[in-house]
Amino acid sequence: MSDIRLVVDHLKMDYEGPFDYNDLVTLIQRFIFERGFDSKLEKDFEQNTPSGKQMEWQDAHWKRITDYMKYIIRVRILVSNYTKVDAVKDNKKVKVGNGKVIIFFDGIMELDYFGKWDSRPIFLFLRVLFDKFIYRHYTERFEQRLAYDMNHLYHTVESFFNLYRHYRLVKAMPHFANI
Amino acid sequence: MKPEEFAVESMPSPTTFIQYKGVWDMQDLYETLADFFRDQKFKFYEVVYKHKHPSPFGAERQYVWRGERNVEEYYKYVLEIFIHTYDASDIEAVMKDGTKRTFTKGRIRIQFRGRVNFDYEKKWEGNAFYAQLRNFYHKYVIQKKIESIYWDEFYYKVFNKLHNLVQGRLKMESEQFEAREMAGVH
Repeated sequence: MSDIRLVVDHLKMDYEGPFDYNDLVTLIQRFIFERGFDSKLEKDFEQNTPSGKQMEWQDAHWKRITDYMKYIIRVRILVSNYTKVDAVKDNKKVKVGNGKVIIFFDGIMELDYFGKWDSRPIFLFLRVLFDKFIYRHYTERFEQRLAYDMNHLYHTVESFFNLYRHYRLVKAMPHFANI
Repeated sequence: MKPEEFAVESMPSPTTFIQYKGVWDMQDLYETLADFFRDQKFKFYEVVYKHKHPSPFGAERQYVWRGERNVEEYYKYVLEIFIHTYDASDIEAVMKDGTKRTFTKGRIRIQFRGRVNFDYEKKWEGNAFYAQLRNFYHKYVIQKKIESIYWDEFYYKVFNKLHNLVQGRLKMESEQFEAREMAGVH
C-alpha cells in the first residue's frame, strides 16, 4: 500500500450564472494535459430533467514525477439546472448555457506507488524515516509544486467564469436595452 | 507454478463510464460504433444481446460489443463496450424536413474496457523457461515501449476517441477530447 498524502483537500468553487459547460471541461482538460498529466475519466453522467440538465463529471489525472512519487489531480464538477438561454454580449445575441456549478479540486501526492517499501514493517519504518527526515526537503518541494499547480488551475477556472461577466441574460435585461 | 501465472499478458486501460438520461438514436449509435471499429481496422463482434421483458416503465436491453485488432505480431488491442439501457421506449419524432424518425427515450449506461494484449498467439508459453524469458523481456527490454508507445497510442488514439465519439452521438454537453490535437498519422 503506497503512502497517499492529501495536499489540496476538496478545494471548492461555486458559481451560478451563464457559462459554457463544454468549454469549462475542455479548459480543465487542456490545462492539465499541457502539464504532462495522463487522464482517467471516472464519471461522465448526464440527466435530462424538466428543470434542465443535471451533470456530474469527474476526472483523475496522474503524473509520475519520479519512480517513487506520483501526482494525482482530481477534479469533480457538479452541474444542476443547466439550460441553454439567450444572452447579449457586445450588443449581439448569443446562446449560452446557464446553471449552477460546484467544482471540487483534490491534489494528491502518492509516494512509493509501486509499493516496494511496504512488504515488511522494517521497510515501512525506513520509508517513513526517509520521507520525514532525510528527503524531507524534496518531499516538501514536491508538495509545493503540486499546490502551486492546483492554485493555478483554480485561478484559471475562476478567470474563465469571470469572462462571462460580460454576458447579460435576455430575461434579465430591460426592454429598452440596445440589442 | 504454471508459466501463465507470473506472466505480464496485458496492460489494461482505466475503465470509463457514461451515464445518460434522455433521448438518443440507438440505430445511429450502433452504426457509428461499427464504423469506428471498421475505420480503426478492428474486428467487431456483438457478443451479447439481451432484451428483457419490458416493465411498465420500458424495456431493459443489454449489449456487449467487442473489438479486436492485431496491431503487430506481438501485441493487439482489445476493446469491450458494455451497454445497458433501462426504461427504454421508442418514440417517433418528426424532423424539420417532415420525415419521421424513431428515437429511444430512457436511461443508458455504457462501460468501456480496453487493454493491450501481448504475445496473443501464446508463442512464449510452451514451457516455464520461455515464459520467464517473456517476463524478462517485458520487464527490462520493452517496458518503456509498452508504457509510452503501445499503451499510450491505444489509450489516446483509440480508447479516448471512442469515448468522445459516443458522447458526441448522445449529444452530451461534455463533448470534449483533450488529445484531439495529438500528433500522429490518423
